[in-house]
Amino acid sequence: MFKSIQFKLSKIKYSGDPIGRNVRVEIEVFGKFLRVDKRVKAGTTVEINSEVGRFETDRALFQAEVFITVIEKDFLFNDVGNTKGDIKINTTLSKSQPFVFEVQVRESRSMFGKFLGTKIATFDITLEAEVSDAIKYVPDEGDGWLKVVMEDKPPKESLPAYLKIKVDRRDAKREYFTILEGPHRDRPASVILQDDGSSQFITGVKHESMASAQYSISQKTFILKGKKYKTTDYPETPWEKGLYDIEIPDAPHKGGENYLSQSKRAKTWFRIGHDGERYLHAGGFSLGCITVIEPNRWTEIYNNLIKARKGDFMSVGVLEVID
Amino acid sequence: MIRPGKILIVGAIIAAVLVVLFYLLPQREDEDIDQTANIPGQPIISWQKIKITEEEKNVLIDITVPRIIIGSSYNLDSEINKAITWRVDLLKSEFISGVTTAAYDNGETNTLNIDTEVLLITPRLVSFAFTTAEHLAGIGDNDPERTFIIFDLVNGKSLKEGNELFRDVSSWREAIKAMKASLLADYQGDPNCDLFFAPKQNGFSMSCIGVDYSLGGKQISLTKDIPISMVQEFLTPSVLSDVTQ
Repeated sequence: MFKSIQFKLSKIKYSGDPIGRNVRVEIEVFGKFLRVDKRVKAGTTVEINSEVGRFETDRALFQAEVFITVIEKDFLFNDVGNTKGDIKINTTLSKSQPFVFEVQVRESRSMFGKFLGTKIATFDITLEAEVSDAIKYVPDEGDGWLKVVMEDKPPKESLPAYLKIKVDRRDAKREYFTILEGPHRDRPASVILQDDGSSQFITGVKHESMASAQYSISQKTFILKGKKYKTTDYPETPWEKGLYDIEIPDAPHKGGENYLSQSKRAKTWFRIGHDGERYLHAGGFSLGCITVIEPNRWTEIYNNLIKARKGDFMSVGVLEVID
Repeated sequence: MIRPGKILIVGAIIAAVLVVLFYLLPQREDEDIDQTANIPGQPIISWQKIKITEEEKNVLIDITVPRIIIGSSYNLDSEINKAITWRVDLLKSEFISGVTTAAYDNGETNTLNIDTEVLLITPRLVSFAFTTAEHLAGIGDNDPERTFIIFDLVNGKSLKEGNELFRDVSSWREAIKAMKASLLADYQGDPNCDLFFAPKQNGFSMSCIGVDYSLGGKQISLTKDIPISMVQEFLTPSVLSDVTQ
């Protein structure tokens, strides 16, 4: 099983002789680098909680070499100490795994070639490794869709931007993953690795809280985040007042292609409710959908909806249809 | 007074021009034009066959696409050709994105075939159907998809939704409703698809591209030719006469 390891600087404990308060800690692990500047008083411990880096592995034991440098910055004389060591992270454990490294820093005042400093400070640097499933997201590139292959039923499908997936494994050419939300939830799929061997997916995405939108039947306006957008609907299939879920986009809609010059995301439509063919989309006319007839403003709506999540694994928010 | 010498010189020049034309005209047959349909007073269509191969990605693309020539207006034929190129580029980039992120590297060739058909050509309207069939290595093929371009020659623009062909928006909706019912009459399932259509001689050509969640989210692509009798009452008189000409 593919795992993601978040490696972070958890805290700095300053003991021994006081040599100054302006402390810089530099950490290097597997090509990732963190530098932290902090005022720390001797005899205290400060929480840092800054990420050094994230690593992915499919091995049960992840090993890496750590280099740590501690500098007490002075106007004339910097006091420097460093250490290096190995870390071994058990990726089968889900609880946080701490690693403490001691770095001694000797006061190094010198004059005419003579060292005058005699004080030695001790810094206990606590690093923490947190192991979790390798969660990633579809990037928002191109037309906003990523083509993948469903491993249970071979035909390709397209996944919308910011869709959450869990990486299961990787070989030399492809990444295999499970879709965690949207209409293909829980289905296994795969995608080609990029030419440089990196993943197509991105990390560090934070989904936003659910979007709350309104649609006024009488005014033919769609309202989102206080902004009004002109729309049209189909009087013969009128909307009924009430609350409807706005779904995570299901598939690219070719019906939006003629509006790509006004919005690069015109092929992304949001289904209203969980069945039927009624969508929120950019266009000119309606056959039952809520059609935003200002296609050049569609990207603004898209940006406000695409990252939002209701928490039901299917929806980005809620639409209230009012009179 | 015209001198006989001058008459001889003018005659020689005319003869020379005729000889040059005689040798130049047959040379046009050497161009990559398979078929030329010249309707008096209407656009000329020359067909181009384009083959694109990319060995590194194991890609083979075959495109048959028309080039429109309207003698009286360079801008107009340029606009139509731009619209055709835009559509073909869109279909190509769709395919390439599938090759780049989805297809398997198993030695199979990734193929795309784009066939274009002129559905209607009149002094007012021209419409094309693009039938796309693709095969991505290691992946089951979907049904070919059919999309359209309708170009209004009078106003010099592509029609986005095709509503301009109908008497009003209400007629447009009624016509689409009727055409959709006909298209899906024999379909077993619950399709969720976008509708596309274009006028053709004595009718319309229609397609429906989307998914069917009642069949586990299966991708669907349905096409049908619709007889003019089904929609003629909704068409503007000029379009009706063009379609039934």
